[in-house]
This record gives sequence, structure tokens and C-alpha cells, in this order.
Amino acid sequence: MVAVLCLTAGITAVVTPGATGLAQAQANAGGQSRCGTVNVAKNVVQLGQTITATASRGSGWTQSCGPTWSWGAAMPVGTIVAGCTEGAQVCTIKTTAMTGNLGSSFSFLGFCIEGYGGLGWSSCGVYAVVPKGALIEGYTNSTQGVGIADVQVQASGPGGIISGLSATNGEYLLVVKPGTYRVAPVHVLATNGTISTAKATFDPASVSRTATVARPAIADFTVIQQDTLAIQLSPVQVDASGLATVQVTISDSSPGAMAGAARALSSGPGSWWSRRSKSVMTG
Amino acid sequence: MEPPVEVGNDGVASGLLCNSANKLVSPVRLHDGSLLGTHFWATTDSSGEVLLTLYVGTVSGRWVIDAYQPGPGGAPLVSASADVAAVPGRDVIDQGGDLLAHLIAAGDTTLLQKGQSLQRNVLEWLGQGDAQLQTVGLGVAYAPIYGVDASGATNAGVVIFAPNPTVRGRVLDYLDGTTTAAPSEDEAWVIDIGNLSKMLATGEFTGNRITHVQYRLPSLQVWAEGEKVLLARKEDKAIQSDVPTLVPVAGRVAAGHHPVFGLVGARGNEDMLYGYGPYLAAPSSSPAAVALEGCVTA
Repeated sequence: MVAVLCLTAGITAVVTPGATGLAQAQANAGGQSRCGTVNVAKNVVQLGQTITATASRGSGWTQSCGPTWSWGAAMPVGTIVAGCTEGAQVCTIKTTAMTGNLGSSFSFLGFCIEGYGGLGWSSCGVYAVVPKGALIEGYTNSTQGVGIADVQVQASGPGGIISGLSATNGEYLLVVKPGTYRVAPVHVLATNGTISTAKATFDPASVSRTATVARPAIADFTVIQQDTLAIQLSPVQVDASGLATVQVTISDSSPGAMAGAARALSSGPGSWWSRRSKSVMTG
Repeated sequence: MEPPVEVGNDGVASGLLCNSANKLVSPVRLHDGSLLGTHFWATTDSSGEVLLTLYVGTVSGRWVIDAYQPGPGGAPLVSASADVAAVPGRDVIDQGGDLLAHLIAAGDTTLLQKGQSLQRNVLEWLGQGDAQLQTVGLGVAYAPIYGVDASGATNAGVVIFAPNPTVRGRVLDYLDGTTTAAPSEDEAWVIDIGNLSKMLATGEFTGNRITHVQYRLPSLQVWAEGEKVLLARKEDKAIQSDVPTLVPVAGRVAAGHHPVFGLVGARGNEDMLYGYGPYLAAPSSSPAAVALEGCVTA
């Protein structure tokens, strides 16, 4: 048995085994070369299970692609069960390492072949190795159906509180102990990891799902993002001559903002200071 | 929208905020006369924007505005700020002793306009002439004032003072009664509107058209309290007595009172103009002046 070191292609998509998610992840992985094609039979496996990829010449194969290919540009960490030699059409590996940690995001990584004896090329399928357990998975999409990244989704149940972030395509995956969980998005994170100022509500706010090892639970959510405002002052430096003016423009820069959609911008009731404190806390 | 609560205090710059309908939205004047920045509602226009204009006053500092959209679908608070720099200036109004001559030389028909009060004419004229005065290092700060004399008559004036922020503070503190210490005659003079009116009318009546201010301007304190004008001294050889010849001149303000900052016949929120507030640009027909005037009188 040979230990294979996994070289990742820097793929960051969180996995789900659905076809759409796979396509997205493959796109993120750089896709397939015209010279060769790699298909991973089961893209998400649990730790200790085998993962099998098959390779074939691509639809655009020419002699310049070279006579064959080799495995191993990027592969799952584990031991080779079958194939995986130069020009082999199959490569099966028993996994010994996860592609993420319990309670956090799981990444699709590349399972790749590369050209041998011809042009330099590589093609990759994608896979993820998750801990043994049940899966809760789904999408966090905008009202327009576009995936919203960095939504923290939390599941509360027999295994405690497990949370993870959605990927750029809006997918998330939580590995939990089997059981019934209350699943809810909690907030959107900014790129620096703090809670984003682009606050959101979610529809539904939460759902109850039962996850088993044999059958993952699906929980999709629609992210209803709040409006975002921008203030521009021009100029921002003036003299106290009594004759200067500053133009103040407050604009609604929300993705869903439309011309003619009047929005009231204001403070709420109460004293100025109390309102201010509230605003700061919620901002 | 939350503009600063402070107006010209605690490091906050002074200014008036007007909305796109040219209506004053902040600050408001409280019963004690102080100004308080106030929050207000606004609705985005067809472009998704709220447009406001800040007319910056004469107090330097920082000016911060916050905005957020309340409610479950609202937007979190955002802020932006402008820095308003102090404008330095000399602390003696007439260091070289030639300001009055320049004021007279800068006279023009602005003072003779008929469409507004003479006090406003003087303010407009000073607004026009200040740039020219600055070229010779004699720029002046100015503000409208009035006082009620012992007979109950209201007397208008325009105080001109050294354009130093400290002097401005001393003048305006005196005018709002914060202090009873009048600025010195080195700091503040008054163009008396009553006397100026008579002078201009006399010139017009006699066919000798006059387009400038008086040949002598009293200090703010003298204008308010009166004085005994020295007509001649013994050493001037005009008289032989050792006792100076003094002629009492009544003040424009009744004893125990002080002159007050402001326009006579102020409309709407015009009392927020001048002083620490923004100034009407000159000429008064300019778009900037019309806009600001419209905002404070709407």
C-alpha cells in the first residue's frame, strides 16, 4: 500500500453531492482539460470509505496531448486500493484524512490526472472526505436564486451545536451525529470574519430536519439581505469661512434597490442618545 | 438621518443642513436660543438617493452625519464626515489705521439698493467687498446686530470685527449676553444703519450721491452705550480751556441691556445666518445666496 499525498488545487467550494453543486465545484476546480476527463463516482465520502475516479481521453484529445496520463497531481489522502498507475483508467483510494473538520466547512478538492509525454495538461474531478456521521446540507440563496456566501448556518440537536459557512455558490454542509436538528442561518459574515454590516433575514428562519448516516437532510434558505446605505460628502475638507457648502448624498446601494423605490431613512423613536446606542449595537 | 447634535460646540463644526426641497432640516433653535442638531426622516428619490446641502458656518471642527434605515428590512448605520478648518485672521481690526479709508473707497451702489433693508444692503456690500479688502490684508468679519434704546426704538447696525476666531467668539458672546465685557475698540466697530440711512438720503437729496459708509465708525461698546465725543483739545489750539469739550452721544441700546445679534425683521430662520452660521453669498441674487436664503425662510 502506498500513501498518497494530497495536493489540492485550492478549491474552496463547500460540498454537497448534488449535481449542481458538483458542477459548481468542478468549475471552481478549473474544469477538465480537452485532453482528458476525470469523473469521481461519489464526490462526498466519509472518512475511511473508498473513493474512485475514472479517467478517459477528453473529447478534444489529439496526439499533442501525449499517449497517456499519470495520476497524482492532486489526489485524496489515503491508501491506493486499485489502479492509479500510469495510464490507468481507474484509481481507487481508501481515505485516511478529511477535507475539513467536524463543525466547519468542508472543501471540494481536486482528484486529478495530468498529461504524460505530451502537452502539459491536467484534469480534475472533485471530492470531499467528511467525518463519519450524518449530513445536513443545503443552499443559502438570494431571493433571485443566486448563492450567498459566508452565511453561517447552525444546527442544534443531539450532537450539540454545529455550524458552518456557505461557499461562494451558497452551498453549505454540516456533519452531525444522527438525529433531529433545528437548522437555522444565523448571520452573514464579512470577508474579515466579522458579522457583516449587510445584515439579513432568512426565509425560513429555521427548520427541523432529521439526518441519518444513510440519508442526508436537506435544508435550503433564502437570504433576504437588508438594504445598505452609503453616504458621500463632497468636499470633505472646507474652510470655516461661512461661505462653503458640502453636498451630502445618501444612496441606497442595496443589490435590490430600484429607481423609484422610495425608502425612508431615519432614526427610530426615543432620545437621540438611546437611538444612537441602539444603532451602534446593531450596526 | 442624524447630523451632529452639537452645533459649533465641543469640536463640532457649525452649519445648516437643507434638504433637496430646500427646507432646513437641522438644526432647530431651542427656547433658550441655543441650536440643537436634530434627526429627521428622509425618503430616497427616484434615483435611490437623498440629497442634502450643508451650508458650513464659521466654527471649525468635524461634522459627522449618520444614516440608517429602520425596520426589519432596513439598513445598518453608516457615517461620513467633513473636516472644517479654522480660518485664521488678525485680532486687531485696523492695525495700520487705514481700514476706514478702504471701506469708503470700496463703496458702491449696493448700499443704495431698494429691494431690501439697508442693513441687508450693508451685509451684501461687505460680502462683496471683503475679498477686495482681503487683498490688502484688511478683510473683515461682520454680523448684523440691533438694539432697543431707551425710547423703545429698534436700532439696526452691522458690527465689523477683526476676523480672528477668538475675536468672533468675544463679539458674539457679548451679543448673546454670555458676557458683559464688550469687545475693545481695536476689535469691533459698528456701521450704524440709522446714521448711514440719513447720510445716504442726504446725499441723494442734495444730488451728491454717496455710496459708502460713514467717515467715523464707533466701537461696538460706544454704539451700544454712547459716549462723550471729544470735539477739541487745548493743544489743538481750537480752545483755550484745559477741559476737553465733550458732546454726549446717546447709545443705541437702553441702559442695562446689550446689543443683540441678528437681522431686524428676520424671517423664518434667518437668525441662523451670519455669526457662527453660514453667510449669504454676494450678490444676494447669486444662486448660492438665493438657495440659502430660501432654505432658512422656507
